[in-house]
Amino acid sequence: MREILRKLARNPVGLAGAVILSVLALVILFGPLLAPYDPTGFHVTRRLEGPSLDFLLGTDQFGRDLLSRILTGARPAILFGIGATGLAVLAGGSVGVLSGYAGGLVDEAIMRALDVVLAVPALLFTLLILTLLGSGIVNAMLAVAISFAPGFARLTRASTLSIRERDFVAAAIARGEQHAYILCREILPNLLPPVVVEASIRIAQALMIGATLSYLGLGAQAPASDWGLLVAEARDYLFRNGWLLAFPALAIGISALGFNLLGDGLRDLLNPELDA
Amino acid sequence: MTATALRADGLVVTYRADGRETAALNGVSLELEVGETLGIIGESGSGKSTLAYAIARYLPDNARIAAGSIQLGGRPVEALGGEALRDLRRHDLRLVYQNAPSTLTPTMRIGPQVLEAVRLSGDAKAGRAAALDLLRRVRLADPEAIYRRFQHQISGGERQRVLIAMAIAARPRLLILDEPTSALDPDNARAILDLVGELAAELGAAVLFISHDIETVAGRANRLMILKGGEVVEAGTTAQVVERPQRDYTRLLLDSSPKRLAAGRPRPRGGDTTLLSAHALTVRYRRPGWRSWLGMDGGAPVIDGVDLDVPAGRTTAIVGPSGSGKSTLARALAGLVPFTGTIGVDGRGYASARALDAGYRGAVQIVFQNPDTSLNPRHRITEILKRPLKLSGLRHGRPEIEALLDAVRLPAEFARRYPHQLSGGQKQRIAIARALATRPKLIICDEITSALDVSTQAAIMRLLLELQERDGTALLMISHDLDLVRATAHRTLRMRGGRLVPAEA
Repeated sequence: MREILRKLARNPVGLAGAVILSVLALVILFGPLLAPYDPTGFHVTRRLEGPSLDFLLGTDQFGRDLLSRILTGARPAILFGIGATGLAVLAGGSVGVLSGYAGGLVDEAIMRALDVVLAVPALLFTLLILTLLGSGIVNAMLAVAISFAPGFARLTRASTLSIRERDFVAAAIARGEQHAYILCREILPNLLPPVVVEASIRIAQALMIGATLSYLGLGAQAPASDWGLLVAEARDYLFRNGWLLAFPALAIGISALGFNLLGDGLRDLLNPELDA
Repeated sequence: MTATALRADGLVVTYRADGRETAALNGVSLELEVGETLGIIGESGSGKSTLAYAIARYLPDNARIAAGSIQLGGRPVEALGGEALRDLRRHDLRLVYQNAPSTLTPTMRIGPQVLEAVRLSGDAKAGRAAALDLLRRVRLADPEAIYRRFQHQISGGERQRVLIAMAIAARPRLLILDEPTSALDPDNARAILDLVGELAAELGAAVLFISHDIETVAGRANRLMILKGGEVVEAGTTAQVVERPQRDYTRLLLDSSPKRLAAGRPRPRGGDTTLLSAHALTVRYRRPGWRSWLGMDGGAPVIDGVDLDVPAGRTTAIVGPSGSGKSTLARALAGLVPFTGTIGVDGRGYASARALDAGYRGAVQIVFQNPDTSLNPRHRITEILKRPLKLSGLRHGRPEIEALLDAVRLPAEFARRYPHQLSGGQKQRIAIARALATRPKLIICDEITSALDVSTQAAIMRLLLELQERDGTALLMISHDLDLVRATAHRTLRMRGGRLVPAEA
């Protein structure tokens, strides 16, 4: 672990991502405490103002402090991304590993079925699931997880196929190891790098989709401070106070960037061939 | 009257990595006359390839020529750039690489690629006939057919010939061969080397022949140069170097060549008892497609009804060209691929790979060709050695693991390391230790030394022979290296087209 941190320090891209994410982590943990005002408190006389010393990022149509709302909204937005991706890794990843390890007809059947799912655009598929499950933040998370799972299944399957052919697996079979040991101890640890990298990039995507769903009214519901919801509500006041749209959008963008950069950094970091 | 084709003086090449510069070549000088062949011999890390690429001015971006000069036909080339450098590569010098599949473009037919080489070297209007002529000169059996094929449709030997054809298209003054035959079987390799010799003589080109194997080069080069750690250990005429080596390292390389290993061969022990016998062993590989799913297609046989007896305590070798099925036979005996027929060990018969039980697995172990892929990169050596002990129900504490490491002549502290912290030879020793852990009666060695340097190869073979003497373990060696087999095996079997054929005397 210390070695990873040391290497990360020498990788500027990954380091930038790590810095952004550290700040984000602080906001998730302490955001509500850092907020200068109550995120749902009205300041009726100070509606739709631009940034000022009183309200650093301005106020919305009810006079609520935008900075406070963004700080409180970080937790649901980011946790949504991490949660959806985590579920997708668990579900898709294990299907992929088993499919790749089993091979043959089982593998073929699972993969063709996933191809069908993958053929539907992610957002459309998510919307389809949401219409079945009904709207709400937990359902939205499930929907995103389901639409991401086939991607992870493909990834872990491909990696499993290549690792399965390596001689250390053959050596394990030759000494009579059980399937469970081969899967868990020989194959899984070698799957970690590609999965970690893919997941860090997918989190950024999930974050954006989560924001989109909230924007469409299918995710978080008012008066929550979810970032997507903030953008959605700002739409009506676009020409009277553009800041209202700009700041939440910026927060989403920077977070996505953080996860993307860290993903790129981890990709280099976990590749032993780049390790001089 | 001879003229100097190539001259290098005090060449220093450094690589930059992690902000540090390390020298790969440290003051190497050489001189090569027109029509002469110079063999450059060294193990991995000796700087032999760096030397070749420095002369061809084709070093990677993080390398630079820090000092010294290179002259090609009297012209300094160490600082050429742009068009002058392209001109040099087009007309004066050509490289033939080790790895032919990655050198030919996969999406272009062979003919046009050869034609491109002809056109670049001056004759811009050259047509199909010129390319066909070149393919004929490298003695490809059917130039017309090769012309139309893609690189994946021709054999390794044919690819190497195509590369040579492209190299001689320019009638270069200097031909650099970087391990041109190390991926080929011995018969093919010999034919290619003869061909290069003849063509070079015809063109009057000087040849720089880079290899790890002193035996391969000795018969072809006028002079030899031994490199180690970026410095010249010894240089001189071939006869001088081979017959009266001045330095210990040269002697080590010469002693490591398989022909001289024979001295260490242990006496056969334990009479003529048969340890393992296979009867009508057949392995089929499934062809892709629905017919094989439905069981309508049994697949092509790779091993076709092999009968084999492996005697206890002795070394049996199986040789054969690539594609003959010898590796598949090894994997079938190790229980890694499904087979039909029977394998018998200790009076018990096994009729399928699934039937092979713990007793069989413990008695028959396998060591693979490539130590880089046979050890899990995420396991420490301790875990790698502990598992087989545990599975065989043996004690698996620290003393046992240290005893295994000691048996393969590795220090006990290696137990805490990861595979990537070990050299290729050390990794192969770990793989052998892992095989030894179950106290096997037979160790199958699938080309275990072909990925290693010659001196490491000799050390590994000596180790195995010692272990055989100590424990009376039988060895089944799969190899394409006839010299190695002759030096170590008590009995040699030959494989061709999936069948065992009688070995010639």
